[in-house]
Amino acid sequence: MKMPISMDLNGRPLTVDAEPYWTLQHLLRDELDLTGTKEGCRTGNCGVCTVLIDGKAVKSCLVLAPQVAARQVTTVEGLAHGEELDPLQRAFAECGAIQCGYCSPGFIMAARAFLNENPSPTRAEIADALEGNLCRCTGYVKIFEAVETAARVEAHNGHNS
Amino acid sequence: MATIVDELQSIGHAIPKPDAFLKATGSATYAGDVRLPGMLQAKVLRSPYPHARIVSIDTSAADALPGVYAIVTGADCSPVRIGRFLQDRYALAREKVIYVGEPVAAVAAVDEETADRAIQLIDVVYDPLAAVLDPEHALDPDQPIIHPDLASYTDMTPSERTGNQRNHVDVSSGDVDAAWSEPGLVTVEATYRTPRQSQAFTEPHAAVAQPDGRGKITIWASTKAPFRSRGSIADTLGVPASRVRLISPVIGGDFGGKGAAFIEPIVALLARKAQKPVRLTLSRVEELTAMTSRPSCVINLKVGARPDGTLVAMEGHMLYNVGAVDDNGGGVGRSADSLAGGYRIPHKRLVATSVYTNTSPGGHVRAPSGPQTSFATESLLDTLARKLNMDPIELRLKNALHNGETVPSGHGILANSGLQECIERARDWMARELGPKGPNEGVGVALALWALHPAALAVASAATVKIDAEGGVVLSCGVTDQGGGQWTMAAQVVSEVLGVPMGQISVIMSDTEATPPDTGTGGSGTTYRVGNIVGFAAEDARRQVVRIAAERLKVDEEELVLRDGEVCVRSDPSKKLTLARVASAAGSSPGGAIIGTSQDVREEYLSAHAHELAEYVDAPSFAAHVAKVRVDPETGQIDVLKYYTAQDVGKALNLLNCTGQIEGGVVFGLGYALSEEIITEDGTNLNANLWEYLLPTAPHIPPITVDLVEIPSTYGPYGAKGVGETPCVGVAPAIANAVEDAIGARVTQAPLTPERVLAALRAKQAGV
Repeated sequence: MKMPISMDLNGRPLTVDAEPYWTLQHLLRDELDLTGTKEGCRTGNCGVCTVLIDGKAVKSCLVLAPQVAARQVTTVEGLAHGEELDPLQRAFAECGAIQCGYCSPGFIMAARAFLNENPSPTRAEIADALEGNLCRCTGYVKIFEAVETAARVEAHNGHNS
Repeated sequence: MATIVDELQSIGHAIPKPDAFLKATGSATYAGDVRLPGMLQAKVLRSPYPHARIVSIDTSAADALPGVYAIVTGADCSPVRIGRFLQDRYALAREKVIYVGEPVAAVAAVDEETADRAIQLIDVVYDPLAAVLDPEHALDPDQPIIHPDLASYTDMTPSERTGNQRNHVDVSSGDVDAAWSEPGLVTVEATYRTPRQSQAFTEPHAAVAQPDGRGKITIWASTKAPFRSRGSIADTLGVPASRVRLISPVIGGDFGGKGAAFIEPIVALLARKAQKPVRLTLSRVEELTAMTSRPSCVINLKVGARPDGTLVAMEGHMLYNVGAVDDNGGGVGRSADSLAGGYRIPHKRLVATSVYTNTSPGGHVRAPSGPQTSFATESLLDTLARKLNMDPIELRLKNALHNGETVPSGHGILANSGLQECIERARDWMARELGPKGPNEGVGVALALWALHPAALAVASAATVKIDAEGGVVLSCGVTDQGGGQWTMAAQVVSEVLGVPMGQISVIMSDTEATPPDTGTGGSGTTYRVGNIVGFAAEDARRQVVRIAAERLKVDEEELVLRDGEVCVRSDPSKKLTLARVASAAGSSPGGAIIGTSQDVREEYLSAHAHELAEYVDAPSFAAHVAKVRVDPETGQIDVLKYYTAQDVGKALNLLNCTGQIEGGVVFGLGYALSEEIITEDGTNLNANLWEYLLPTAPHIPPITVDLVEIPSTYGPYGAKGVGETPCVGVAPAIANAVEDAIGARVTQAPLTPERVLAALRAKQAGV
């Protein structure tokens, strides 16, 4: 039976009726039409559904909808400020880190959580932080470059999110 | 007075993909993201048996389940086999199933849970049949025949089909039997085995179908070849292709796996029956159980050379396992000549046989046949170099084809080859960058190539370029962008020809009704043919612009230059008109527009060179690969420390996309070399998930150096050649060669898992 769940979604309060067995991925994609959160395996192995819960990167296919009650959920749709993209979004696009793009929202969310914790990482730290996200197109090289670029931009801008 | 110097404005630069911003914000719409009012969810019931007769299907209990709108089985399909090359399958099984995972029935219901429950309520009675499970015995006389009517199937290319044999190709030249008896000939011989590899795109297949109530269906699908797939859908529905509109939105990777209609006919049948929109998204289990993969291959290869390293003879026998249905052109077998690589070998017999088994379908995966053949040939050449006590690079340089020589298939003469330069650059890099080898470290080299076919294979496409009275430029072209950057490439060509900034160009792609037709992305040939066709359409528009502007500005047409959205006089750029102005002068009301068109590369432009193109391999895609590895002799674990590849791309149209394709291709090859293998037992794929089918992940990526060699092709746009497939071809042999250099043991089976490395090491220590 559906139950009401209240959360903060992309900076706005929201109450939604959800079946207790729905995953957060299903809630976002199929009930709220937030299709930027992708679906690739439903087993937590590919990372394309990564979102932030209270600032931590989480695979939304492994979280049940009721678990986000009273939490802050951020999806890729909530990352930009109006027309101003998050530095990671811009760096991914400009560094060639996006080919087919299906993994990109998940990578950007995972990298967002990571840079918030570690704003000036080494390449090895970046690679370790992104181990849970699969990319089949880029060979990861330009993804590393994009995260490094975003980190530099944020250091320069005094970014602190 | 300022004078304009001609310089490439867009081509050759590092241009970010316009669609990357859509993708970074999550607003790009992939097929599975399409949402329509009242849309139903579909699920597929699949065969649990590798080979069984279908005795009966009872759908009554499923039909009675509230929320179920439609159930379809083979009985709902027109009894026509489909397939993009050989038509050897039904959209839904009829009479018997021939592999585990074959679609038997499908349900459309109000939500996924209901569809899942309905699937479980369908009662299928099977009568299991003996199955063909071992490809090496598939042709034995006691084996059941999977396709009794095989000879009557429709095939796009002629093939030798009989019994369980899908195709048999024999490419011979010279007198190989006599060549072996040449005095002093040094010979080496080995058997190599390669795995089934999944395309493993991150976006599973998805499709949404919408009926219009008048017998027509519109489908949004993750397909890279909508104009071809439309026919398969229409055939299954039993309607003319004009009753099916297929739109390919943003695609989440393809790598060969999204060129044929597997799920689209099913979702179309359901939508027609339910008369409601229906969506189907495959699970990862379905992808790895029931969809296509790179055929595994067993290769016996023998090569002979003179003591100075001159190759004299090669004999190769390949056995491809294409599964129960084959989505490969010619059953892969037509590529037998790739065993000879880019080498001059006067006497050769290269035989490829592909066989059917009751296992999941074989199909195209990035560079079909490339990784299999190169693993054998480049491994064996290393063994030969060792036996000759010759530097492996020198051996390759000595035998690599030069311009003007006939390629191994015999179908063309090599032109514009960068092969030697790739090898020489690799040698220089090794001397400069590799550094000393530590304990258990080794270095391996391999050459790679893809498809030495004459350029006349540049198949049909068409495009229109519209300049409207507001100055906007709209390119319409049937090609798809599965992530390779075709959209960007096409816009760059238009930008270059018309002198219009990228931001002013919109691209409409791959909709069987809204765009001109195209055969589909693939074969590393898309830039070559679509770049040309788009360029011709832009040039057609440009001619119209120049004609009008010359009249208005009262100068000769040759005096005019197009740049920054304007057309101006070369010697006096202050005399100018905007393209918007020119376009509005072109038509009547409202606004007016200039429309440039082009159709069929062969007819419009290349016909004058048809003979030449039929004969010359104009855009050979060659590369040299170097790997440095460290092997743990206790565990067999391979660490790749450094990777280098020099690839001849003709002309890098976009530095970001070009290097991105090569880096991605190398890592695709690393997966094939080290970990990727679909393991099949009794016809069932055991590791049909992403925790047991192991893809390369971020922490395991070595530093990759991409060295672009640019020997322009004659007819590719701006000299470009194909890029995307070659980079994954040479990786596995480079790694295997490096492993032997490191620990002295030769691994002849890919992927080089720790178990196989240890087994090779123990065999060597035991003196086997």
